[in-house]
Amino acid sequence: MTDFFRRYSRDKVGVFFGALLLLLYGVALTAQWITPADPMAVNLREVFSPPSATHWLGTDQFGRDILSRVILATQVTVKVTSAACLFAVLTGVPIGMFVGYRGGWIESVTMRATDMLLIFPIIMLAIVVVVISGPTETGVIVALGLAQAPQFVRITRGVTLSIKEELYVEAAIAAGSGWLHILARHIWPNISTPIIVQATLTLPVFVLNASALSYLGLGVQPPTPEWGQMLNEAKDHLINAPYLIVGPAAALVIFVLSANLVGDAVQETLNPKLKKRK
Amino acid sequence: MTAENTLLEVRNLRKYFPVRKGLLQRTVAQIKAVDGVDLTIRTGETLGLVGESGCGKTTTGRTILRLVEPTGGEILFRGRSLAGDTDTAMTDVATASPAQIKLLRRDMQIIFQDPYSSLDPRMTVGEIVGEPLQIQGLMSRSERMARVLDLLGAVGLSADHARRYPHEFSGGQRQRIGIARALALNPRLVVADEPVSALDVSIQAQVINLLQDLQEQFGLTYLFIAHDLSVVKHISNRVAVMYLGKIVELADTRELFGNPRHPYTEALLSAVPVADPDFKVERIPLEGDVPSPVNPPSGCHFHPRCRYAQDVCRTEPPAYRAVGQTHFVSCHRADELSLRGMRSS
Amino acid sequence: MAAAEPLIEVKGLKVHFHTEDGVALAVDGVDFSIAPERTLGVVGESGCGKSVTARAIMGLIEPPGRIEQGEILLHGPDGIVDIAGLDPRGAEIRDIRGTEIAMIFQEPMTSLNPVFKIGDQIVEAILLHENLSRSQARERAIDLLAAVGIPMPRQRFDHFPHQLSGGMRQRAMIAMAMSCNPRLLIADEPTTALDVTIQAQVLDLMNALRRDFNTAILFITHDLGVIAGMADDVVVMYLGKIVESAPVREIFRHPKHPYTQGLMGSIPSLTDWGARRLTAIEGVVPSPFAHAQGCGFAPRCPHAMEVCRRRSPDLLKVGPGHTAACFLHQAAP
Repeated sequence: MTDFFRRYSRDKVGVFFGALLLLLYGVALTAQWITPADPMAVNLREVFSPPSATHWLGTDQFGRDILSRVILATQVTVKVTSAACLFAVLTGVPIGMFVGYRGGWIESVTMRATDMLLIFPIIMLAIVVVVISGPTETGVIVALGLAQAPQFVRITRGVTLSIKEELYVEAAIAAGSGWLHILARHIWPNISTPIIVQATLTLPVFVLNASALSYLGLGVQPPTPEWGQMLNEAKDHLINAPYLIVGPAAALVIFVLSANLVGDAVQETLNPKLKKRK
Repeated sequence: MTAENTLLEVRNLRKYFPVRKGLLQRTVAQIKAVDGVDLTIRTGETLGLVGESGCGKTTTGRTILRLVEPTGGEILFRGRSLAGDTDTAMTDVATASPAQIKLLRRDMQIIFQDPYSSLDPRMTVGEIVGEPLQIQGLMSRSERMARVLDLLGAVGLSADHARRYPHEFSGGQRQRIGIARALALNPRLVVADEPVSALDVSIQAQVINLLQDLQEQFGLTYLFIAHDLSVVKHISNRVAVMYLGKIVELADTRELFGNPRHPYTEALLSAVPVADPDFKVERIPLEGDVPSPVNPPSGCHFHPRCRYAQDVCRTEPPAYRAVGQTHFVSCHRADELSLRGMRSS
Repeated sequence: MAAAEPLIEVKGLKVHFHTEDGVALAVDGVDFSIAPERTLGVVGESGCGKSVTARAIMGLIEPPGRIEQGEILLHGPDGIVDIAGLDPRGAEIRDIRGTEIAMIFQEPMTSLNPVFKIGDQIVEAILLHENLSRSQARERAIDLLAAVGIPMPRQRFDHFPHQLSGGMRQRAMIAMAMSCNPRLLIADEPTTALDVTIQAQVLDLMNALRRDFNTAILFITHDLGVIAGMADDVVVMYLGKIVESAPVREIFRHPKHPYTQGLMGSIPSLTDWGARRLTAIEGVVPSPFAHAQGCGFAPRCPHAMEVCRRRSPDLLKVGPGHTAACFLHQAAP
């Protein structure tokens, strides 16, 4: 682990964007205390005021402070996407490990099912889930997680297939081990690295999908702010208050870009061969 | 009937792998990797199993341990009663229930060829060697640790190696770790699958010596699978030669090397390079390659490459029969041919 | 033993690999020469530098490896070329590869291109170096396939590498190597991946080709049995250095260096019936990054003396055509 950080620290881009990503998570965790104004407070005397010393990013049609809303939205986004990512990992990885190790008809059926889920556009899938569960936070988390879980099933099954051929797995069988012991003791420790990489690499996808859902009004509901939903509102006032779009758009770009580059850096650190080929 | 000192008796063991093709994965052919193997292993001996790649020797070893499900045949093994040292009657490993198999695994272990793939890189050496004990639920944590240290000592490693990870060790040391793991449950039979062929010459000798010392110390019985005839000759009491899924000859080591009765054994012996520039033998050329086990030749599988083949060899599969007290061969012409073995120098 | 003019001379060759973990002294001062039409066997365990030496002669050392010192002199009709000084990607070395020196490897599958027919690959090799028409080259390739004992060469010409067995692939590889009549053939563990009966076929083939083509061979292997049957002269390598060098009969009859003796004691005999115990060499090969003082073999040597840990012995004469790098056979300095 210390070795990982030592090698990661050599990647300048990775370190910079890693720090940026950590900053965003810091903002998310402390959102309640660092917002300059109440993000929910309506002030009809100050609607559409342009950026100023009191309101750095201006105010919206209800006079709410945009900066404070962006900060609160960061918290909402981080919460929703982290939970959705965890949901995808916790459902996809055990299924992938199990079917990869056991093989047979159960593997064929599962893999065909994931293929079916993968050809559905994510938004379609999410709409179905949200329609069933209603546009609650939990609904959004389940929708986003379910959309990505097949990816985790696939990648987990793939690495499991290669690890189960290793002789140390056969040695454990020869000692009388059952499948649960092998999955927990041999398969999981040896596949966790590629799974972690996959999780970091998919994080920006979660963020984009979460924003897309709320842009379409299927995500987190007003008045709770979310980047996509803020962008949707800003779009209606693009001519008279163009500054409304800056805050949520910048936050979205920074988050997605950082998460992407950090994912790349983690992958290269864990698998130096990839870097040489570049 | 089974003799008193028989530890393992294999009767007509078969393992066919299906060849699947197409969208529906229909079985279009069978690879007859093991095709009717008979052998017995006596308590305390080393039986060498030699043959070229693809002859089925590795599959035979794996099937005996039920790491590969047999297609047919019997694998009779004399286990120990749960209490300890009294022998039980012969159990058929081929049809044993999962619970029986788990118990049998205490008495049958395996050493692998590849010292890299056989050790989990995420586990310490201590965890690796102690894992069979943990799986079988034997001993407390501290007893296990003590046992691990004993085993590491027995294979020539030191106690402080237990906390290290496999990548810190060389190939020969890794093989020692694998051997310690195989001995953790105090087995009776150890299947050694090419245990030295991935090692350098000088390390090979260390591991061979170690295996012989451990056999003496723990009263082990080995099924020693290898392609290197000089190693097999050195370590085995008896040797079986495999060709295309069948045993073609089995005899005491000295008898097999000095007085082979199967033409394949003769050709194999003549092909081994001898580390002596003055040792010139006329090589018996074996034309062509080993045929595919999907579609083995008719009659005697060896006939297309055999220089003594006659009509009967092309049509009739030869019986596997005794040609001496302890010499078995599967060749129509075994009685009339006079074949050349290794002379002593 | 040596003819007046050697074919190739390696002098003081040092090849180092500069890696993240330090500098590996893969080849650390190696001298030998090969006379025309002779076979020199190089024996040693993995990591002793035998393959790196061969790659250096082919001009195939790529970063992080570097030839630090030494000369590789190829004596040709038009004078002497120092291969060590040539650009590994330059035109000169490309001219030498294939025509003067050819190489075959342990795993022929990695050196044959899987997407081209084997016949076409041999034709390419011929056309690269010789001024022949395509149909002439094709006839020549078919002759070569026949010469290396591939049955039905005309049909095999159109086969892809994966359609051939391991032995046949190695034969095809040899045909390709011999396509331009090289004066030196480097064989790097050519039969290690093959079964004994197939190995015997390939060794017999190489012996026959050696006579027919008058090619010198640098034969690299870890197998003392193969060396005994193939080589005229033998060098034994350990940790990047030559520890002993002699004609084949001499080295098997009177091995002088404790490492050579250890190797011979390590292999079980096929012809000896006594139940002797193998005399294994204790310990493990030290890391090439360690750069310890003194003789590289001293930590494992049963005869190691105080001087062995301080100084590295030179390769000195111990008999006719026989040299060894060991203080046991040298007057203490």
